[in-house]
Amino acid sequence: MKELQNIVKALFKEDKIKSVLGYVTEDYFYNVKPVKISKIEDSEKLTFNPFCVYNLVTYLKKEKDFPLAILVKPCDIRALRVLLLENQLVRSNLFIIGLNCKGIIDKRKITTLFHLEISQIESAEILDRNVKFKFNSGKEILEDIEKCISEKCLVCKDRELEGDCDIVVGEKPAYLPSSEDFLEVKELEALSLEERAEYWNKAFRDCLRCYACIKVCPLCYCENCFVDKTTPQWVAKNYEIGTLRDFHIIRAFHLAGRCIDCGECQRVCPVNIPLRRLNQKLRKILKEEYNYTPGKENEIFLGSFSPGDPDRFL
Amino acid sequence: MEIIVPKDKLKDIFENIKERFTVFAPQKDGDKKLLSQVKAFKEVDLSILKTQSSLKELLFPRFEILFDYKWNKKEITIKEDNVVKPQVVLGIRACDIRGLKVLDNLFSWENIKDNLYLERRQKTVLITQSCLKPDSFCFCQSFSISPVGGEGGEDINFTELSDCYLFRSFSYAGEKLLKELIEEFSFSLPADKDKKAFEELKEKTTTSKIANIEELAIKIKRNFYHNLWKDISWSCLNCGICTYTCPTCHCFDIVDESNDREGRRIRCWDSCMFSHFTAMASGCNPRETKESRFRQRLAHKFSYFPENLGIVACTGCGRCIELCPAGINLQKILTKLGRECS
Amino acid sequence: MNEKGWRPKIVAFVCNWCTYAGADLAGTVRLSYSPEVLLIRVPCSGRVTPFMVLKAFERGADAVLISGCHPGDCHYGSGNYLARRRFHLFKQLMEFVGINPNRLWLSWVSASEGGKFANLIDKMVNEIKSLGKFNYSMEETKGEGTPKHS
Repeated sequence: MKELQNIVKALFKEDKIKSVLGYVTEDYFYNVKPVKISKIEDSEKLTFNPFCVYNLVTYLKKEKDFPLAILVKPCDIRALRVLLLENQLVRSNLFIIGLNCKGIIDKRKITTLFHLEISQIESAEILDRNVKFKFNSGKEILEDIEKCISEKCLVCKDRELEGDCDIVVGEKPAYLPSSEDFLEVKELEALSLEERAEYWNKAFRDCLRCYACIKVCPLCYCENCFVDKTTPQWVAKNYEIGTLRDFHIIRAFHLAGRCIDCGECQRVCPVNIPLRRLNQKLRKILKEEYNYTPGKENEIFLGSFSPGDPDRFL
Repeated sequence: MEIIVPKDKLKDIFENIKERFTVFAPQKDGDKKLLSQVKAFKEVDLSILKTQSSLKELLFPRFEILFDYKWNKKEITIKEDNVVKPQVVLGIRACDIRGLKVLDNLFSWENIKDNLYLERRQKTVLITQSCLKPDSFCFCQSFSISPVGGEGGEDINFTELSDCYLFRSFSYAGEKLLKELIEEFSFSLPADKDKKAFEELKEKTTTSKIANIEELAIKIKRNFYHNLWKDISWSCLNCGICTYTCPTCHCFDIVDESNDREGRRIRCWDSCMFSHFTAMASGCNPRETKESRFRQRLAHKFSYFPENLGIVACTGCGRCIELCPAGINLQKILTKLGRECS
Repeated sequence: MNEKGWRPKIVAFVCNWCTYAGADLAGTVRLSYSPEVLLIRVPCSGRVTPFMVLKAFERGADAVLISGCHPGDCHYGSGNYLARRRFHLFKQLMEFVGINPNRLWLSWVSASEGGKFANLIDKMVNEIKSLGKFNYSMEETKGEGTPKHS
């Protein structure tokens, strides 16, 4: 923490940045908020703990206060790479501070696991394969890390930050997950077409069209999103299942070759639609058939081609 | 009227009501907590404190068809098909009911009556459940709402005591229903010990309280150009979660879906937080910035709405705090406004 | 089960330079093929977006065909290559969400392949006849999204 705050203070003193995007906690350990700090005194408030789930890259949309510093976790840096590839940002405007990450705790998972409200937890610390929880009652528990961290962290094996960041803070994680990639997608692929249709129709039925998934995604930066277009109107304004399904298919497709699996869309959905699985399916096809991983490539997937592309039809 | 219901008889009451009404109750579906239609008692989950979507959905649905139309160069035929069946909503909370009161005031304001809402409202029987364990997001007591319920205009309220449920009615419809249940099941009246247990629970149950909410009406107006608005709205993503899960938010859009022979006119939810909400055909957008939209929402809820319709448009349920993707906390904002604005 | 007298409706997005010319040729040499197809001429197969396909299904199409120049022969250079990538992905996404991917066909038909075009349409109409009417918009759920009353 101190290391991070000192780095930021130095950047302000040397006039290298106008502002910094980071995390603060106001009262409780788990009440983390994303923040933009423009005054050197406020650097003392910056923090990083296992509840810092927000992807700060999404706040770079419409940002004008350059040069600025931004705190990124390994999942966030991939979003930055795609934005730089698509010429949405200028690298010299950014000072990238990498945060070595041991995993992000999923609030929904632990409140279900411990059957209590989040306000009962005093602190949480990741130690190797376990998470040490301290409760307000004084009790301490050591829980298996895989039960507590977010779904996306269970498949995050590449946490290298050195190449892209200007500076990296924090200790490297001692434990890396060994879960198979794309497990949730494989589960769904094993079902029949009708069963999958039922699964997704049931999931989409509760969609509120709040568009939080679009607004939080760092790569959804279109000024006029397809959902807002009225001439012609692509997505109707009603909430019938066909319309909701169209909306989600096209949203996932617009991220084909660009989604870097930060998992934010699924985290923010107020009715728990399993959005990550849609994007994961596309990532799986890209990996297996084209050997393409968004965030690590030098060309835009749907904007390029190869004469040898898979061609399983007529 | 008040009656005592033994715990094992709740299922029988449910079955009795189900025969005459469509019943909606909190339900758990995986990790979703929704308010939806229930067909069997085992689907009802009364331990859910707050459902992710609120009661307003049943009376002011996400989308409804106003009418269908067809035309054939000579004449237009319009078909309206809004049949409303009597329904019972069971297990909701005091904050949901206060939300309905706000919508009642709005949809019957002066001589502009929204018959779709009012007809549904009239045919709905509301049975609330007492909150005995509000969570840290709740702050309903700031608006003089009692978490234990009974004072918001519901028909019946029930409280879980140690060995039974205490049912209390507050309206003609509620009393009628209780009388029918007494006839069917011979429930007894509450004894003194039950009444005492209830009063003790009422005393004990508290939520966070923001002081002096009414003063915000003037403070927000006077501090329209204060620089703290930029600060508090910075992390807002301009999605619609707070507006859509709020029990009182009510903005809507009316759209025609048609081709050149037939079509239908629908009403659907809209949100003042969307960037195109105030965009006009000329290209002008009065609330182009995030800060202005955020300020407008708070000013509407705490200043303009109470001024025009006599009631603060917030129930303190805390859904916006729990579900906000950007960590914005309304309780903290209201406290900050109270403190830093004069 | 299909209603009596149902005939499949196929919407074909055909590229102006190759497939449209091929279809024209089929007409010129008096080849007859199933009439249940509606041709929409686009400048290039790369112009077709997934949303157009979904809109076609929504408006009543039982199947959609996208047909363009052979790889390497695109009038604009690489449009058909991009379409190939796009729809290869999109078909699989459709299948993942539970929509039958056999309703979306992609093919290459050049300007001199009138016979191929006629055979293609005949083959497609036959297969769609056996698949049946496409209930894409789930007619039985029209109006749903309002609270359900039993």
